[in-house]
Amino acid sequence: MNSNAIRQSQIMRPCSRGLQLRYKSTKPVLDKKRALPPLSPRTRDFLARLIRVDQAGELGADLIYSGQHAVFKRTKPDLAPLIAHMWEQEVHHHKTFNELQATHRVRPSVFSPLWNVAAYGLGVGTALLGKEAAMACTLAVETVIGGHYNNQLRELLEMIELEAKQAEDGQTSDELRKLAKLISQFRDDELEHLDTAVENDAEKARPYMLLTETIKGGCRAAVWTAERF
Amino acid sequence: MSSGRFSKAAIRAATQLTNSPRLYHSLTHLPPSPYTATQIRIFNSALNHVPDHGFVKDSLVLGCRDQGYLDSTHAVFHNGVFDLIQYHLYNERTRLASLKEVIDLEENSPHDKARRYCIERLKANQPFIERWPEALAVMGLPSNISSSVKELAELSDEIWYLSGDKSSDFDWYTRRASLSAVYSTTELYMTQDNSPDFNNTWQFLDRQLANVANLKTTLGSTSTWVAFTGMASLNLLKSQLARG
Repeated sequence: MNSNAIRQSQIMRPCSRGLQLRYKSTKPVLDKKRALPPLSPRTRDFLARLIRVDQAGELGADLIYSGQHAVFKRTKPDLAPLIAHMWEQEVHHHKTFNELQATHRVRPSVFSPLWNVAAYGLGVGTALLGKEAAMACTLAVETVIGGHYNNQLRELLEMIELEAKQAEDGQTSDELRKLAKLISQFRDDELEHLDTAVENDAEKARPYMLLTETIKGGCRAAVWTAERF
Repeated sequence: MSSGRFSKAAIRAATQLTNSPRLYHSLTHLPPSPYTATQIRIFNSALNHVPDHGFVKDSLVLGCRDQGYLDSTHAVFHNGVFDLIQYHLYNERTRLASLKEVIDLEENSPHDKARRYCIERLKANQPFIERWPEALAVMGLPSNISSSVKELAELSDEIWYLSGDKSSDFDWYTRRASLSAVYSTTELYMTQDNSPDFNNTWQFLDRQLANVANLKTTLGSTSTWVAFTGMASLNLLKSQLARG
């Protein structure tokens, strides 16, 4: 095999006799200057989906709380500061993902106008049903989002390990690790909102199962859609 | 500009954008160039022959010969002259990033920057502008059209990205679709332009961009009007209900 390869290269070598033309080989020359190898297409596709769906999700969360706040600041002024606190955190999440989307050149979800209307409507609607219904809505949404962030985190950590194995010196950049850290921090925020909802009588909403299961189903459908489109 | 052409190009670009899987762009793990050093040398030599021979196989053959390869080497490029055109498009698109420092200093708004990138990109067609309709014809062949439209979408994405566009909602799509439409019509106009230094082309480009900006303001004020009317009717209803 090896000697074959050597013979092959001797045949392919350009001849330099007299005035004959010299022909070169068209074999590709590898560029070895780059320190970090490119990410695999699978990883890049996964990260694009991750940023797209999380951006859409945080846009939704931002607008749900803004809808609830718009109602509660008139009907239940004592509840408004609590909603405002959660809203502020969601605004921060939303802004962070908008920035990530722009720097990493991910296309936003095509349905963002729809998410706008649906999320604000959900916020206003549940708030009009009362405090318990609004809290049940938060509970349903944050349950789905918390689980969703956990799934993403698990897959992301696997990808980081895989990329490190593929790199020659086992080095990866901080880029992906920072993203993982950010997501785990956001997941903690979302789970905190879940606890707040439970503390504020989310489970007393009637009809509890119908309300939470419908919202959870809607969230899952939205996650599926926003990942892809 | 006929509006039919505009909307068709815009729709084509928009559907292409939603279909193409836009991958995550890493800032540290840079993607490799799709071309090898040898291919780049051959293509660059071939492009030098385009003004005389046009976008035909002969230019590729001469390019191979210039670089010291057999004439038949051109056969490694399966798509023939379309490979050469794609190389030119790719090369000039990625070149725009190297102008970022200068353009960031000289232009202010993202709109002005995008205009400047368009001009810089169009100027790259100048050496063989008389032959460019041949390239457009090859790009428009049924087997090539999807790659060509994808390349146009990539170009307008590149221009908006370099211009510092941060749109994060549906605006992302409208911006890219409208710039694709503007760029492709201006490119076509440029092939017929005989004015000194292509002055007419730059004026044409400005008119096209102004049209798009107008469209945007119209859309913007329409949505403001809808929101205002909605709120006003809701308030009217509320006051009527409160009166009982």
